[in-house]
Amino acid sequence: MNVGTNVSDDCVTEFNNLKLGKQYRYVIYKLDKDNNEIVVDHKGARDSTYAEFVSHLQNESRYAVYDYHAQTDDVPPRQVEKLVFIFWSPDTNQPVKQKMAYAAGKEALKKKLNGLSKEIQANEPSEVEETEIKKIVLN
Amino acid sequence: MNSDEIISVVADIGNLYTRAGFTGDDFPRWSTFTKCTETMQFGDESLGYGNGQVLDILQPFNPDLYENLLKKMFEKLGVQSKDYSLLLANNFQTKHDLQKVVEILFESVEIPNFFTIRNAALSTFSAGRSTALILDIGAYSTTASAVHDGYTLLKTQIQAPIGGEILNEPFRQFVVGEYNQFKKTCLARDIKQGLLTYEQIDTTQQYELPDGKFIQMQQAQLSEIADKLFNSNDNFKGIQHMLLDIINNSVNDIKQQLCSTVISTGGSSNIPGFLNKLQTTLSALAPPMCKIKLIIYPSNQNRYHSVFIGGSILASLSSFQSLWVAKNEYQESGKFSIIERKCPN
Repeated sequence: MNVGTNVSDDCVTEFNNLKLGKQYRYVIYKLDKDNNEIVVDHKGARDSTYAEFVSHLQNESRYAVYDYHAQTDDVPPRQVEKLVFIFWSPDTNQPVKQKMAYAAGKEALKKKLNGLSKEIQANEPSEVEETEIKKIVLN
Repeated sequence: MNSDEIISVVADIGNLYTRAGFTGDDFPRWSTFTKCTETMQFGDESLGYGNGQVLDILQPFNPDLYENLLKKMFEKLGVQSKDYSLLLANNFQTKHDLQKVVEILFESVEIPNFFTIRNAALSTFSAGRSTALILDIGAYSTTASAVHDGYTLLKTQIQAPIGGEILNEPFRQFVVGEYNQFKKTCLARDIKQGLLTYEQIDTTQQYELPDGKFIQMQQAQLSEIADKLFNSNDNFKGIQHMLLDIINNSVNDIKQQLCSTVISTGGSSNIPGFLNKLQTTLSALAPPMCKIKLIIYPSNQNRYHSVFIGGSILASLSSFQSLWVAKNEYQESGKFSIIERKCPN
């Protein structure tokens, strides 16, 4: 349900730079101070590691798009590339209002990002480990 | 709360309890029974004393009494209805009932703006999620719903006529004294809340009555009562099966998410040991590849008030303000169709 959260133009521009321009490995988004508009928080260089990405997911909710590459276990192995949407919503310490503003704003952002293949909702670090994202991408 | 925030009224009018208050509050300022006396008195003081009939406002839906309840609500909150937008939790059985209420609100109570959204969606939001499998154990009925991205999936929603009130019955025997039916039920409910548990207790549970006498009950007796929520009979499958049915009937894409975001709400979820029992029972029956994870609200109060809290926060978001249905929109659009368009469900 789209509650009308604004999505800055930047969000779409940088998403396209990732998707089409292959300039980034990931883009992280956040709500601005008033919880009214979604803006770009971080962009990860194309050669960033997954660990670097996860280091940005701390005590506050975030949205992210990650261009994940994986290899299947087939012989010979197939290359799989998927754009994964990650909704990071940690249960600790965040005021409920902020958590809810992120939950309510998710649809507004997803609507603007065309070409997302998979989605993960993660509420604790174990749910956003690389093994989890690999599982989703290869399924 | 800064002065730029516009305050609205949020109401969750359930079959037994009504909770109302303001956006930004984490607790409803007015809590009462969704019942009144023949002379339109509200509140347990009036309902519990005297020999007059106690009238139900919902079950079945009584528009005249409902209108009185709405007006009383604004009075009790200390505000003029024409100055405050109202977010009303949608627990209506039929579109017709909702339509009638919207008409009452705009034309008789005269609110300026309105919005409605399903209870299940509000409970989901109040847990900081937009997708969840909600088990709402109400007073007279239990509803299991899948909520996906804020939309309550009505096609797979299941309702059963078992709720917290049925668990009062075995405790009535301990209520002695000259009370009317309503008051007797309240006392039985109090005893239930004091004694009922799923946990293995070493000693017998005790409850002190107002007159100083103690009631004792054995673990076995209490288990038998508490298990009514999980046991199946002619018209009820057990709450675990209600949830499993939804999981099994959901498309694969969201099955995983529903399993890993199970939320139980409603006062009965506060029975000691209930959440553990629900977790173990569900995990044992869940399909393979579906790991059941129960999301716990931070406090017991959230389970009574999750719908109110969800509404309170949702309607306080600045991004939400464009969603209100204004009175003139309602009047110009041919009335109900605008509600269907702007309030997803």
